[in-house]
Amino acid sequence: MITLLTILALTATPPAAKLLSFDQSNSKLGFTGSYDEEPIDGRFEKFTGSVNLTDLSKPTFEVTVQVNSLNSDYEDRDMVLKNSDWFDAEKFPNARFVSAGSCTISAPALLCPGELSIRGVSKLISLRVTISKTGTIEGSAELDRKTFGIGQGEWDESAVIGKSVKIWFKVF
Amino acid sequence: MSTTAALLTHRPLSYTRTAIALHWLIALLVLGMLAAGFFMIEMRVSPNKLKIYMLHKSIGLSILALMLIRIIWRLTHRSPALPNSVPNWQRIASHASHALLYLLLIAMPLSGWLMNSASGFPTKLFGVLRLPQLIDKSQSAFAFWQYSHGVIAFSLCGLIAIHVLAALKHHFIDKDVILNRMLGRAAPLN
Repeated sequence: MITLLTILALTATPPAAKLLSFDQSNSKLGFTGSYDEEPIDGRFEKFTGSVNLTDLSKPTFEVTVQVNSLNSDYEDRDMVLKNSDWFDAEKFPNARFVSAGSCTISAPALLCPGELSIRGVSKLISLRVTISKTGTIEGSAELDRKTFGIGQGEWDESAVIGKSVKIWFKVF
Repeated sequence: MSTTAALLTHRPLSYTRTAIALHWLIALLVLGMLAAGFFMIEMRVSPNKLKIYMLHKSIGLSILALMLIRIIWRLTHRSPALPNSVPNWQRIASHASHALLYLLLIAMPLSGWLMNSASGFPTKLFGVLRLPQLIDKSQSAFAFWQYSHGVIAFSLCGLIAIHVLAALKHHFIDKDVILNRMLGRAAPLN
């Protein structure tokens, strides 16, 4: 078993504070879906997160994303993704990930469990985390958008927009 | 015999079958694409709209390929000369409008490809062949190419109208061979 503390210990700059915060100024967070079986990506421009090391035996990690900050560099697509059939940003303004227990090693990555809540649906997922020599922490998880009710009604098909979506983040 | 006259006598009386086939195939596709284009932009966003857009993009790219073949064919095969009855100003107008038609028929799919690249949607031919994105994702570049695609579409509509009216005028008023030779009914030059 390996804890989040270990992840942070592996980075170039060891944490000095007990509560480490990050946001869009030093991190990136986004998703890669598929359109006509080709990758298409977007990002969230507003999010805040922290790693809490107050209790070293139980470090926690959480991130809250402002769904309305979704940007795929194409306004029409962003508007659709924010509407009620998709993220329903008005009704569910935040998406959230909260760590749930310790990470396990799956070389060369770590698998970190946590609860992901999007659009009012919470599911336990496993984040695949890697840490580069320069200290960049990258994480990703593959999920089925339908599990979270993303793409409802007539969009509940995957001929054009695939079901599988990769969410990813990068902390510099 | 003057040089011009010598040149004229060596020019074919009609277009080749390939040139005729390319002309009518492209004409049919372009008319369908213009109609579909004006219709689909008014559609509500839905999976069906996306599928129509995907088909529109594939047909547009096919037109681009057909136009390139057509230009190569045109450069390597002589086209029939205009009948002697056609006055000089009409010859100039004819050459200019044909050159502009070729230009717009290339610019139309190319601006669509640029617009699609800027939007970040993949450029794929009938869901099978992925083509490169011509430019990076950019909202401002998208707006520019979207506007251009529209301006070119309207210009093309105007030019096609002139092209059709001129062909009909030659056929029904001047009663010359111009339309017939594109219909594959070869006739002697006036």
